[in-house]
Amino acid sequence: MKKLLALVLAAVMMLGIVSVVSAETKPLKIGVAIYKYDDNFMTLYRTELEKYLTEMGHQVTIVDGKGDQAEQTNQINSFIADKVDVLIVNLVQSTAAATIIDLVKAADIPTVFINREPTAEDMQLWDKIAYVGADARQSGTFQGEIIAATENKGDYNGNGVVDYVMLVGDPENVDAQYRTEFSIKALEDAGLKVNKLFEQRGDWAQEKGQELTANALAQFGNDVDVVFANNDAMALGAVQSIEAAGRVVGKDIYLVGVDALPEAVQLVMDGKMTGTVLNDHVGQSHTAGDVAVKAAAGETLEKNYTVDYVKVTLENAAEFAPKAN
Amino acid sequence: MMRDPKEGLPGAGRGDDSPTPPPKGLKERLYDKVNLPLWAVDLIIALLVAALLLTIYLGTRP
Amino acid sequence: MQATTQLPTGRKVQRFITNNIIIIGIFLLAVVVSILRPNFLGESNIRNLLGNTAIRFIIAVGVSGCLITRGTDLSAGRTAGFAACMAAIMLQRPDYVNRMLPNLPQMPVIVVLLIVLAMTALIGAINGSVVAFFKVPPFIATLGMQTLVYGIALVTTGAQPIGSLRKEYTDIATGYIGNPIVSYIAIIALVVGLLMWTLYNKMRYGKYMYAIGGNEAATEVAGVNVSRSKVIIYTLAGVMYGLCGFLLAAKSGGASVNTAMGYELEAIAGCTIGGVSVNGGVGRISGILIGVLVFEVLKIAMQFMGLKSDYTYIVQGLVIIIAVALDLRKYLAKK
Repeated sequence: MKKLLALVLAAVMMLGIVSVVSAETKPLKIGVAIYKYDDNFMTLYRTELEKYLTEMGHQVTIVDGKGDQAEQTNQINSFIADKVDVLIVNLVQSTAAATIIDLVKAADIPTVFINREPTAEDMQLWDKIAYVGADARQSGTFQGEIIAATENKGDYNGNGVVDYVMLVGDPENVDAQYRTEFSIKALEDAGLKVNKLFEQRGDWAQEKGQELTANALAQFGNDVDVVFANNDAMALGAVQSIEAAGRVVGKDIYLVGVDALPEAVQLVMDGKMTGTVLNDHVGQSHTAGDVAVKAAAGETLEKNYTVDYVKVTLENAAEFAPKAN
Repeated sequence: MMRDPKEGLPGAGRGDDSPTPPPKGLKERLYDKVNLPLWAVDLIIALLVAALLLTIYLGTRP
Repeated sequence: MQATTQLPTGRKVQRFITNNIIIIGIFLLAVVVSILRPNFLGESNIRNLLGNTAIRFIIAVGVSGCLITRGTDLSAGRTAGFAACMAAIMLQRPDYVNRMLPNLPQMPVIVVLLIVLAMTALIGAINGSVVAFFKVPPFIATLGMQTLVYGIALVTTGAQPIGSLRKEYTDIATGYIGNPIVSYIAIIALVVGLLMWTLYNKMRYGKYMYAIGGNEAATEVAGVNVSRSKVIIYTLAGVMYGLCGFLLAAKSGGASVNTAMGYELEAIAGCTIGGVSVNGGVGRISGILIGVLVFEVLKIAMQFMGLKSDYTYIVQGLVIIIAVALDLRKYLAKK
């Protein structure tokens, strides 16, 4: 009798161990849909995500939505047909979330949305979905805070008002909208008066950043206190025009971007850019990976996993300095 | 090259203003199909210009 | 057609206006804007205008050859972008820690330019060959090339922007002779314009090009090697795109896989407004310059007027439609 009991106990323990071990190391089939492959930030993100998940032993397939929601929906349907264990989706259009959620709910495939945020209502449609990202508002707020923290509070021309130029990404993009709005809001919240001189869309592109800034400086000259760029690429273009116009960042003009691209961080260290904001692709992709694994294991999910942005200015730029390739 | 084909080529010398009419391409044939009298075309142009000015006005209002 | 010498002055003025209405319209626009915003005529702005126009002019001239021969070239933008990336990669500062190719030796800027032009000339030559020898319609052939070149650029750059360029390189964009308005870029565009004008008007190349556009079959019968001409035309176009991309990267301080994306559309629109007929056989260098200038003046003017970004599309679209309508009117009036 004792022997039988011992045998049964041992068997149960074995089963327990085996199930725990296999739950942890059972390789998952993960489908990742990225909105566009030629987006700098998402390139860093997906490379890190792939590395992180493959090192955990999972099988990862990543596809390029080419900026076309219809294309991405087709890709997601392919993943569903392929019976992936969990999906990670970087929506082309956040407004398409409800449709996608219906699809994955019907197929019972847990889904983690990354970087492009569905609305709160959409996130309520099912309990096996989650969003991992940074609060885009924060990137804008940080930009404003960087300027508000400067010695002369962003007012070089001494008229008591922060006269600014705004280089907008593309207006349909919620990041562009938030950064445009919240950078200025942060200045106003700090008690500063603001004056918009120039606001034009630059489509996140460096050439446009250069052209727009050249125009703005030709139009407003020394009236310009600050150049806000929704992203670093446009800010890098702005650097060219600022130098060509004989202005000096840090002496008579400020320039801030977002993304903390290696080149931008280098410029911040050299004093040629006032600051940038790091979109933490490492933190975000690792969190997304962890949440995806949790979701596949059937654990309960939170609706939102937020990863913070990081301000990058002269003081801390060296931490994010570009490393040799 | 047996003989220099410079002369007698269709459309030769189109790079500058010349008195002879250019070859009748697709565009001209499409234009020929337009049966509108000249004043109607002028009216359409005037409306387009009005739309342009309206757009500029709407877009520059603060 | 009647001789023009007998027309009374009134009619002559009317004809002048109808023939040049686009450029008169833009001139008036410039006058109005400069009254409302005096900085419009400032040295900075004129310099910017010339710089932007120069780059767009070079790529438009490249496309014009394809248009005049009843073709098109949808790969222009991506090819220029590819050239920008290649030039940028080869001209990064040696002390920059995050160089894309850390072990690449430092080459003189002119050598890099020649390498880049050779690459884009090759792209153009392939386009021309596919069009001429395989008889693939230019629209499809160059559309395929557009995607192919983009893919190559994406793979070689890894979607990372390339910057921190050598000062000798970016100096090309900021340098000038005497007055800042006479920038190196403007001079380069001027030289290109003169060379192409000579090519189009004084040399066999040009005569063949217009002939092919006017009536390809007749030209073939007349003994011209049409296929060879087409290959040369598309190859030369490729060289133009390479030059455009090279200058664009210097001007912008960097390049990425999205540089010059879509530039072919404005190039074709500029050519069309400038009188290059998409149905072949017609087009002048001066017209191309005017067409491009119209767009660039319009763009800057809209920004000086503070036109909200979203409206600029409507304005540009209307300008194109009005230009076509005026062209139609000119044709109907002559009949």
